Amino acid sequence: MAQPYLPVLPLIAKYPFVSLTAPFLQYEYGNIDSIFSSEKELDVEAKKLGKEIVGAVIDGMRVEVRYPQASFMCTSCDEKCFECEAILAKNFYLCSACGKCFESCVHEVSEEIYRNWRMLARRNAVAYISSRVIVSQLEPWVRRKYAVREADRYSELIREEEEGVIKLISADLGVRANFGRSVRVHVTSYLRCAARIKSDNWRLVNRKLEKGWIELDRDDFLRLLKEKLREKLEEPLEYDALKECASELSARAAMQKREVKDLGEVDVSCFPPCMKKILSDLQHGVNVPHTARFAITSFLLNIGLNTNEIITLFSSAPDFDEEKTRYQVEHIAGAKGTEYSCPACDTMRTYHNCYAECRVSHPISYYEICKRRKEEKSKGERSKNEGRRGKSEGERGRDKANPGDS
Amino acid sequence: MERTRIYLMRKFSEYYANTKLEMPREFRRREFAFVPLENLPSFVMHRHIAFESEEQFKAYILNTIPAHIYYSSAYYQHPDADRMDDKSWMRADLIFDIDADHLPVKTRTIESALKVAKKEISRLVKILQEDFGIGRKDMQIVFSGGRGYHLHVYSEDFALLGSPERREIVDYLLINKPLNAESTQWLRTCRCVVKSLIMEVKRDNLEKYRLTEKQRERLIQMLNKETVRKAAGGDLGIFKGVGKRVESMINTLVERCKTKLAVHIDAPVTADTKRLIRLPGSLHGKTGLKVTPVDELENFDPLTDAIVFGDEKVKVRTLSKVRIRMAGEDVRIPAGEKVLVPEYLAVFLLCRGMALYGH
Repeated sequence: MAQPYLPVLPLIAKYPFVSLTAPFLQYEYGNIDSIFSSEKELDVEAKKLGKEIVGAVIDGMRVEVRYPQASFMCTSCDEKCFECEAILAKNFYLCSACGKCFESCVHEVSEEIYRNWRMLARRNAVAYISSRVIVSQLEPWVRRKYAVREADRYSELIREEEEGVIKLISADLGVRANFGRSVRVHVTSYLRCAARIKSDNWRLVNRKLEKGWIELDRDDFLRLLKEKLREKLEEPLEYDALKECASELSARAAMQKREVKDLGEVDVSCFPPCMKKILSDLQHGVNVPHTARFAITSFLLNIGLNTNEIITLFSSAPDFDEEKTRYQVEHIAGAKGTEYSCPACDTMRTYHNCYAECRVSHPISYYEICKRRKEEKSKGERSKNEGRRGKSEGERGRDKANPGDS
Repeated sequence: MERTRIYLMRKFSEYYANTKLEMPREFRRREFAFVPLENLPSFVMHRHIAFESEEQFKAYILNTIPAHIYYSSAYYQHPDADRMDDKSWMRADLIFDIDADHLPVKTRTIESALKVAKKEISRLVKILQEDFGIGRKDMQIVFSGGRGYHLHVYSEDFALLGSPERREIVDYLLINKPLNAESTQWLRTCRCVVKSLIMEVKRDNLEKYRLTEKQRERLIQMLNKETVRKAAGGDLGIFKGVGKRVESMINTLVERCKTKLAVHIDAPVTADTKRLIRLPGSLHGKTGLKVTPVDELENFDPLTDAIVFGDEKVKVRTLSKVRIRMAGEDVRIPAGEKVLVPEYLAVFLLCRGMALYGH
């Protein structure tokens, strides 16, 4: 008896984000509506699992997902099952995920195993789609956290896989790579992931780059894949379904959500070195490049100054032109509709506006952390006699920990 | 002033009427921007303009007579939307700008500035080929018509990169804060440091770095095969412990080598995925020179090959001293002189504000 999709059922159950999930679900359900409208026990359970996955993200818990303990089966199969280069040459990374070959697989396992695998693949695939649909209806921070945590979970599994599966997943995620003793990744694929990894050794200038390819060891390559996966999971999947689940979770998320802290009164002594320098250059009539003017203005706006206060700060500059300054500040403040945020340290560095090693990744973080420390210190002094205090709730900056941990 | 402007408008208009400009690829997806000559010297930019056809584009130019024409490196769904957010960015050519004013070498004449810029752009081409694997046929080098060169990369892979990714490319080219790692740029830097160190020893230059007698001896002793191999292999740590002055000498050499090896591109141009850049084939309104695509960099002479106007004599009155070599001829004119000069030079001087039209 034919057992459609047999060889990829374990793969789909384990990694439902692969593009083969789409033809499989198409085969099983026909269309996406019938997934969400289905009231079969299996499907209802699957959607519940999807909701649990998102719930676990919100609560910071782990969720256990069951999948078959079997590998991708085509790697060890000699059947000439289908006219397809990817399958015949076992170059699975060339697979275009049409799914046709898997519909007509001639390999067989016992009916019981097949049924179990198919059930797990269906359940996990539906749970995956549901979790993405639900999370896309929640606030962006939930979606970001979902992407990070789920990418972590999958990447732990991928770590244990043999090369064939890693190749397949890498190709599926659109990472251009050549596999040999080490992995060579094309610079464009590399940049699209690495530009988001905050660590100096991931900067392009610190890599070996030859004819457009970058050599990575296995660990670094897996880290890169994880980043790519995170990016994929963060993409919104907008679909008009599972509204109730979403609104229930949204309430839960709102309780978890920490309030964004006001920066309080402006304290120039807490400005990062770059901003201090730009401000002092401006006030002393030193010629300041456009990128630096933009940086200081957006920084001041972001920490809560208004246009007039900023203009007053700038007005001691010898070349001060109030009208021009007002126009520019208002533009950055969003008069034209786009509100700009202060550039991150990486950007500051690129434009040679960074003058120190502060070990934060964003000028605003530096300011927030400094302010918080001062507050805690003064609080500490005031409450010396009240005994020990719990740590204030909410390390809510962009950099969670102290400068130095980033 | 008025006569000068009218003359320039006539000349620019003649050029655009008689020239078939090559449209940038997929021009329907690009934003265009123009600075009309008419409003000069105030720089008024008309932007967020898109064209459906070449005829429409040509009609617009002949109607406006622009001093400067720009187009977007980006491809948009709606290139003519007024707000950047409404344009729907699709992708953007990777572009580089090498401007003599951003180079570490300061020059006095425009000729030597352009020579330095040309060297820099050919270094850029080499590194893009060797390190980034970009084929020469996917690059277009363009003389900007002013004080530098632009390089456009046409590659689907690179076109999809966002701004943070492009900034990584910028940092790579500028060798911006490298770690001591076995990376291409750091190894390059170290090889250069070792070479310069050996040169300084050979030239007996160590005194310049105020090394003590003892330090000098130690350093010379150290320069054997083993340490040279180590240092060139990225480990400059071997010079630690020889003395503070040796360390500071090595640091000086590192900085010098970085400056020498870096390709000094204008960072924001490359990092910006929505940049406006001069249209190849158009005229640069501050020189009257053509923004010229360059096929063979080696033999390209900007102050000859980018000239589009003739050598018919034109009356001008100089406002400042003129010293330039154009079209292979040296020109020296004092300020405040009434002279007859070839048309191309007249346009150049008028555009630069170094002369007025008529006597």
